[in-house]
Amino acid sequence: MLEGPPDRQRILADAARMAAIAGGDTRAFEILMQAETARLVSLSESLLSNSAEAEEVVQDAFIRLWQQASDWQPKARVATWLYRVTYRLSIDRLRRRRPSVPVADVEDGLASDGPSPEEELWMNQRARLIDAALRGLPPRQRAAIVLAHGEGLSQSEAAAVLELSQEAYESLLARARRQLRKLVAAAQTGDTGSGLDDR
Amino acid sequence: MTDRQNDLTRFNDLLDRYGADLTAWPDRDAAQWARELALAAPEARRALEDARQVEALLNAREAAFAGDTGVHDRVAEAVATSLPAPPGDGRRLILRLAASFLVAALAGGVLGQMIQPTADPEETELAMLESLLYGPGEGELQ
Repeated sequence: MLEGPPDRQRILADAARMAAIAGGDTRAFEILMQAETARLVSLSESLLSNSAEAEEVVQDAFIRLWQQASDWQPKARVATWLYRVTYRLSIDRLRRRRPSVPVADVEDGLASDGPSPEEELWMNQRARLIDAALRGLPPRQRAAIVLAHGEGLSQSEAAAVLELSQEAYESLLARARRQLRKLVAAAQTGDTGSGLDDR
Repeated sequence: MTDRQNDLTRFNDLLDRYGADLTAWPDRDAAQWARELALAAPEARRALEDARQVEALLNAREAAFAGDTGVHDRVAEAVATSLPAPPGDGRRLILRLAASFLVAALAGGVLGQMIQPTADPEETELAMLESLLYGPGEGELQ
């Protein structure tokens, strides 16, 4: 998954977009936000387990991008920069937090849900299952999983977001996938045993 | 360790490294080998199914974020209300401010050279020392 000519083209296209944003083109900025917001919030939410905070982090990342648009250097894709800033801001918030009790919050959330149609219930159960499993991973593993998923970033770009070599990122991702599979399996069978790799 | 166990270990390692979508593996030969092992070995098939199930859950999570237009709207609205002037203008503003500070500093320097101090340096030092020792005098409180 090396960066080839298509990536170079995207980097140059991004540079043109950033030049437009630097000139005050709010439409170009809006298009960028439209394309990246959901995935950025997904990354931040996976780390913070809090939607409101995740949205604040992404707002902050976009504001920084706007402010720094005139200094943009076409060395990487804008998405990579945004993911990196979102990741750092999320980790900063995580570090500032005192140990919390997210499990109780989650249980409260479950209890407060009213009855819903069968399909919605099933979807909610799946969403809760994967969210709970993700929360069982250390933050860097969570980020590695979310960055690897979907069509947002190449492997080398995801490695750059986490400031890792591609090899180190692959190892981290492999550990994360293995842990996540264990956690999902444990959640499905009701086994909450520990012994998980927290690296 | 038997060959079968070795194969399963390698299969799981590759699955962890490259994910459950065998068509996306960078190493085509390894993908083909994994496909054949999954057909032949129930343990490999089960591991592949488990990995696919987890990826399906992640897909569902991702789709939920992408489908929630409220997320984008909320973020866009908050960003719009927080944005400073267009970045180009903001930069020009900072440069203008920096330039005005520079001009003021230069003017101050020139004026300082032109206007000679009237106070005796020794008296000034003494006043500062008294101020430090006894606190500000009446004149300084005003």
